[in-house]
Amino acid sequence: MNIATTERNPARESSPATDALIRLRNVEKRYQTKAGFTYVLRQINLDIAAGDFVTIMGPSGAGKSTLLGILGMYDHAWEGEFEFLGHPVHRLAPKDQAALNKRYVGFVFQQFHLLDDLTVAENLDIPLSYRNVPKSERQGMVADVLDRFGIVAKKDLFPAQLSGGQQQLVAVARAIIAKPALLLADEPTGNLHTDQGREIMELFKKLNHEGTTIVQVTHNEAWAAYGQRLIRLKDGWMEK
Amino acid sequence: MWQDVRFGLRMLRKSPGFTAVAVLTLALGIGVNTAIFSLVEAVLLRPLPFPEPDRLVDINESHRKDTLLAEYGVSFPNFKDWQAQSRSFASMGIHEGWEFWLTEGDQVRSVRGKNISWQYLPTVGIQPMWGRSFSAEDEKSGGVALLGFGLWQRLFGADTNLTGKTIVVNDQRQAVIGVMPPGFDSLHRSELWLPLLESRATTEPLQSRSWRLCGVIARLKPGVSLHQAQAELDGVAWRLGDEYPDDNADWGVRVSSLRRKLTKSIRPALPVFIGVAACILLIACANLGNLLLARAASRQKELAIRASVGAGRWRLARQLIAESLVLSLLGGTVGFLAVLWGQGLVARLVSPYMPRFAEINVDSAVFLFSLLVMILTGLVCGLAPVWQVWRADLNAVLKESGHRVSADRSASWLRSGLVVTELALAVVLLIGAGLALRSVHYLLHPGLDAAPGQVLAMEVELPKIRYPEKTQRLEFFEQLLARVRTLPHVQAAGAASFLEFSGGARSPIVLEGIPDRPDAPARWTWSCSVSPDFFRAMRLPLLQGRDFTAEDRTGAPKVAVITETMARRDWPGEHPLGKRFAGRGDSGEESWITVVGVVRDLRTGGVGGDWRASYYCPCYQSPYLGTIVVRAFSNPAGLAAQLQSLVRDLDKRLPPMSVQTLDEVVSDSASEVRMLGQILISLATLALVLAVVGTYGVIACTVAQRTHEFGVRIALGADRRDIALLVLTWGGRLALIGAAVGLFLAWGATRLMASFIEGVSPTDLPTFVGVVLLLCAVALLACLLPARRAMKVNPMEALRCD
Repeated sequence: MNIATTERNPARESSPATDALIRLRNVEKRYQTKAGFTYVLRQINLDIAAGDFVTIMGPSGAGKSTLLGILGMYDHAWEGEFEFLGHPVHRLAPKDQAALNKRYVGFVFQQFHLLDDLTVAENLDIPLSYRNVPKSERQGMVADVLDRFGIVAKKDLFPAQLSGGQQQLVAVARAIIAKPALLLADEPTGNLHTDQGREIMELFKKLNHEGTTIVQVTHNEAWAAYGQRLIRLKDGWMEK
Repeated sequence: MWQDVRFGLRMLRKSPGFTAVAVLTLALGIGVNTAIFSLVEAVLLRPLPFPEPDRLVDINESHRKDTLLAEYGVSFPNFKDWQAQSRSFASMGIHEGWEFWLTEGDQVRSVRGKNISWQYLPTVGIQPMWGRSFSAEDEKSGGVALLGFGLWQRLFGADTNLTGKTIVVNDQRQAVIGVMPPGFDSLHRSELWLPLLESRATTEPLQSRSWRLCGVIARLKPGVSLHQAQAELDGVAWRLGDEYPDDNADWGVRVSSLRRKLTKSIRPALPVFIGVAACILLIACANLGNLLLARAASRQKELAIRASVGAGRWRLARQLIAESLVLSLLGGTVGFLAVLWGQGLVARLVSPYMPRFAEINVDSAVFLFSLLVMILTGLVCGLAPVWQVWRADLNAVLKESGHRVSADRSASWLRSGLVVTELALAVVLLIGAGLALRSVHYLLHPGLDAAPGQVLAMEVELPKIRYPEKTQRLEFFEQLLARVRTLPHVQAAGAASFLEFSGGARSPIVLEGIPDRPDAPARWTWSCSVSPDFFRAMRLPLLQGRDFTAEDRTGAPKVAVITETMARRDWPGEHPLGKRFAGRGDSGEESWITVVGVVRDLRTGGVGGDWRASYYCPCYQSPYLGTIVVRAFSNPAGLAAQLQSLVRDLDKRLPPMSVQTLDEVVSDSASEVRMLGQILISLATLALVLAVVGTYGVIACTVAQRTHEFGVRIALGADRRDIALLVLTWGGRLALIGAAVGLFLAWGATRLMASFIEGVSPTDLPTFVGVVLLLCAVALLACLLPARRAMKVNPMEALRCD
């Protein structure tokens, strides 16, 4: 299968029709060490339907971020079966997995990871430029998102000129600008104070209501409650 | 400070890779500068190794209407008149000749030597290290010789007892009366001296005022300036012009410092070498500066901790500069030791072209220069990281919990600026080398017909002592050529007085029917005697008229075959055949020479040479032959030994003659510019390597610093090739800016080279474009590895800091 050759403009595409967005069967992740194999994830079986808002929790080292990396198809070195919108990811080459990621996935980081040298508007433009959206369309889409997130006044500022909450707002806007079917968020409120965190979580809730599937990792029970499902991980195992 | 040095050494031990690259870079930069300075110091700065060297002058004659040759040799009678009529000089010595025939066993070999007047050595201020100098008496009786140090060691195994030691020079036995000190050989490149005999000085050709082939050295009286001496001799020259108008009208005198005279040929090239060496040092400094900046960036936390426990800005600066100095001294020492080890090699490389090459060595001045360069380099390179640390908010560094997505913008600008500087300097050097290369190529293709490699040239030097008459020499050549033509594989064979691209003689001519006005520019024309078949052997096409025939002998009307350039210059738009010309000053019907043919031009070798206005005359009318040329049907490799054997068959006592292909003769004629080209190409390659290493270092370091950014970009949907393109575009942009700046600098700098290059403009477009393409290609190659590394960034690994 060659996803790249059949790729269409994701910005124009509606969310997939099927309900089974993600299906994991016996997914394992391990490292070879001198002492043998060290497992990070063990026998993960997980179904996520389109429109779900899933929270992953667990102590440090439980494998939360690793699971998020696999779901986002950033990590290709794992074992088991993974179907994404019916595509057998476990059989896809890394290049084809990257094409799926580009088409359907958005990511929000704990540290925001805005590009320091680019303005807010330019940061929002980046995912669209990587998806080959024509420049004229990109300008309109960036303007829409700036308006939707209420950050029009900030569009020419650099990240260093924004507060942490504003930076994460921009980061979320950047993650959803290409209209992904799946939004992955790795401790998106970890660096924010409570009010800012709540604002972001409300935004997630709104996006979820609009149809975006969200998978978030958090340590905060209050933010976890925004999700419809909670998955707990411990030492790589999914707790039943 | 000592603590800083100790800490610096410890840090360098901890990063052996960084230390090795930095030390090697500096060793190259400082080593090249030390080597070039040792040349400059020996050739330009160091006084001549003679007593009161500033009082020593060289005196030449000059023709007031000759704009091509500034200086001629001196005629013996004119020298005697200068000696008698001037008051500015304490003493004056004359030297004459350039070659002797030395008999060793049953072999005769040629030795560079001079006939000198007895005042020559006292004028220079040098005495033999063993034995005695020449006296006035020796000029009458002769029979004595002085040996150079090397020749004495070879002939007599350095035996200091000279009693009874004799040598046979030009078939005459000479008693060895002294040995000159080592190094004296390099003055006028001689290793054997005989007294200039009174008997020779009063006979032809030395007694002729137009025989200007002697050299004169003089010592100014204390307090007399060069200008005063020049003014006095100008007056003498005007008087001699009035007194002997046939030989001395329009002839003047040129007095110049002996040191300037000896270094005249190399002097214009030295600023180029100094500029090149400075460029390489700057590139090395930019490289080290970049390495130190990268290191300081990765050490910000350590420096912040030092600041937090009380280190002030100056204290941190001292620490960083101490580390830079330690590196610079280490690199400089390696470079200095390399020069010390290779100084013999440098001297040997440049010896055929470099005056005073025997004096090139690493002395205390060179050491002090090298030390100064090391210290300055250390200080300058240390400033970059100091600037970076001073402007950084070290408190913020300590507080920073996460990673910045992009690198420090100002530091990045500085590092990019340093790379651009390196690339620009490399472009300048590469363009210089490219021009030299194209010039060498031009000089090595003087318009010869196909396959000059199939033509052998053998210089046949016949000792005048055994072949005193022109007819004897001509007979020898006739016999030799007759035998050569019988050899298998020989297509054609001829002889000439010399090959045009390796030398020549010229004089002014007058044209029949055109009055020779005194104010008109002289028609200086090169001339060459040739045997029949010479043009065929050289494959010089006859464009008009005829070749020489057996009828063109002594007594018959004088004839000549002229070159295209002479035809165009002297009879523009006219048919030159049948026109007549004569040497200026020659009189009588028999002196007119009739043009019977026109041949294609040959460009003369060496810088300053050009398509010559010259004419060939038949050897039977102008019997001077010195070189035979033999065209073979195919590869002439085996023919050389046969030619030498034929010479020995004719005269067993002649030494082995050197045989070269025409290719090699042409190549020798361009040897000076070739040496310049070789040095420039070596140094430019070095500069390119340093610049590429610098570019690689900066790109690689930036890729490492931007790993998070690349991770973010990949997480946001960037393809691997988007990331590679980002890195390559950045490297390409640096290369283009560097190339643009370099082109601008080269536009001005290459004009310095104008006097060394021939056949190519200092702003030659193909060279400029070629160098830019080369630089961009190499710079992109340097970016490939970092780009591959950037492509492999795993977004999850890069973002794991979350």
